[in-house]
Amino acid sequence: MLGDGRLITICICDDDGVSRELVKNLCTKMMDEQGLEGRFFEYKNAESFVMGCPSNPDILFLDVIMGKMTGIEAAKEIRKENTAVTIVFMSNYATYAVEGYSVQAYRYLLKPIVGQRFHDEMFDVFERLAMRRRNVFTVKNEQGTFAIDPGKVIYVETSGSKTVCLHTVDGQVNCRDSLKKWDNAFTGMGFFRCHSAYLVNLAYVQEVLANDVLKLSGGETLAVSRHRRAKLIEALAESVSGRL
Amino acid sequence: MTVDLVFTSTTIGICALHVAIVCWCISKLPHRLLPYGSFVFACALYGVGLYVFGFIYHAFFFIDATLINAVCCIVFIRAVCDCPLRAAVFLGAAISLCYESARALVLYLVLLGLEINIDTFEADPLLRIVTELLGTLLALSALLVIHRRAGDLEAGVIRPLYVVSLLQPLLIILVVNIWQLPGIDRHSPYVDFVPTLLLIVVEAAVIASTMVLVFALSAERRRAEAAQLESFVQSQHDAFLMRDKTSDAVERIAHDIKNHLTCIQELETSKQIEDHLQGINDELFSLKKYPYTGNGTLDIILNEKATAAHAYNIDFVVLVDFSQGGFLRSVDICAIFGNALDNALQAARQVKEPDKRVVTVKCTTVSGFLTIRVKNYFAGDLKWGDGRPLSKKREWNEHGMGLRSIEHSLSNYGGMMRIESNHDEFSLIVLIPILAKQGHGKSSFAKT
Repeated sequence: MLGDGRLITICICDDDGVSRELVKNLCTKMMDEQGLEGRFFEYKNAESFVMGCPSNPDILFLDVIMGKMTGIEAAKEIRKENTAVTIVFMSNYATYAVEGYSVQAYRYLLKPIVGQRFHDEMFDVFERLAMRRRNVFTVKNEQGTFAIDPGKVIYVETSGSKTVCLHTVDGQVNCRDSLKKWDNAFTGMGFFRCHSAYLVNLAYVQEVLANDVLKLSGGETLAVSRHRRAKLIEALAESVSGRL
Repeated sequence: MTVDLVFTSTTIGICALHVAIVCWCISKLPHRLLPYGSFVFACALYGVGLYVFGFIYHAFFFIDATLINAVCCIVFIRAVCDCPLRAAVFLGAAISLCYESARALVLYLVLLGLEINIDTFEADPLLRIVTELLGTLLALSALLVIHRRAGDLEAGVIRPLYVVSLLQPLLIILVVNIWQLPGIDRHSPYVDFVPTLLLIVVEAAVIASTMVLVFALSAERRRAEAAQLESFVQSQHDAFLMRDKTSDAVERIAHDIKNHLTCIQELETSKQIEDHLQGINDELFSLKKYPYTGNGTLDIILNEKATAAHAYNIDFVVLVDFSQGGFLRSVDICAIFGNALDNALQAARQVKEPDKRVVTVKCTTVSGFLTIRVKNYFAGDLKWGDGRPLSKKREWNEHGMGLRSIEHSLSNYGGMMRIESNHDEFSLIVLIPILAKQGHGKSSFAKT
């Protein structure tokens, strides 16, 4: 049910060993700066990556052109299961970036990878991960104790009087708290109270539809209060501008 | 206590009535940009101010009225128009002074002409009404004439303003009638409050009309500014269309030359000639057209800027998915991308480190927004003003026009512009809600 709350899981998939090593070193350096620790999984081709990808990784570095299966095809496979992971494509050509957007990969490393470019594209990704790691919440209920990583919470829903249900990437966790308490706890982490019964993580919002409904990246929809709509659009714009 | 209660509730009631009338007038104005909330807030503030100062009002008739009027005006101007504090203070003070002077003048003339003192005057409600009516109309007309002369007021604005000022005497008559209703004991302490109450009502009415006037003027100014921006954007677009024609011509020539070169290459194969040909090919690089995005206008802009970047030795990275951007007018694509890239290239040119002479433009659809990020590095310090970097351009007529014309274009789509900056990095982010497939959704985004 739970991922490891501490370590950052990074997968690097590239047929070129030198590139893999380089990305690994640059990641390590950046994680040191942020006080993060990570574990790396390396793959030589897309097929082995799709087969052996660990559950709930944080960042995927995928070379676009490898063997039979391309990095973009591999990303499509991964996205079916995982809408949260940050995918970074690497290529000699800018032309593939546009295809990358179709799998919500907004970071793109042009080869040859140099420190400056890597820093530009990845700094805020690691910064956000560090912030998430500093803010892991613990929830106790009848089923046991759960560590809650705000980045993996899709939305929080009022499920009864004084109980809420946290819908996370890993499943649902019930707890005896008010929605207001979670709203306060998640301040500054990209959440928005779109309805009296819902607190949504803006990173998982796919779009706000005209009929006062928002669509989550998993396809699920949530109601939006009419009077919160304008503020939601504003908050979503803020969240979106950090992603591209 | 009951006296205070009656006094307060009557004041509030009349203020509320007046606010309603003024709101109606505002709704008749050509541009409904005024947030009602800030208007009501300013009126409430004014009511409280008068309630507090009302009792010492007689002694400081002119100074006090002007002061309260000015403070309310400034608060109002700040709340409604996003102008700097200094301008608001100046405008507020000027309007109030001019307004109150005109009214005081009328009052003075009436007192002088009828050879009565102020106490007699205040005891005669009818005289007050006529005087206030005259004073208000004179003040309002003076302001209107000044601003019409300045040429930034539409004829349609004037009628609602006169309606407001003509309604004021009616309100005063209403108050007078309350005072003279059969149920009210004329010898009770209430009566002492009535002159003050009258003054409050009159003043509230006057300030309300002043506010409507200020608002009307600011709306007009915005309209004029929008028209100016629109013509600027349009002229940029026209210039761009002209350039496109010339670049088409250049391209055709380049194509012909290339054909010739291919022929030569087939005839001669000696190493020297090939080197020479390679050199010519490199020179032709700048004429090469990249099919970046599939959108004609955007492609031309990107190609043009890529050529400029190449000339300045700036790395130009284009990661653009514009497949959902078709709803933007060509003139707006031109304004948004053209200005954003011009600014970025301008800044990147000043950067010394070769690693940081990079301009990146990213664009795709994220969470229902067409999102554009133009990123660059800059050298030196940015001067900020009004939440955005100040232009370094010297030509006064283009000063700061870039970002403003982007904003102007965005206002057509309910779009937003954001600026991120740290150390030596700068990003301009543009977000435009994509509404085409949602059909009727546009109005709900229009003013966010």
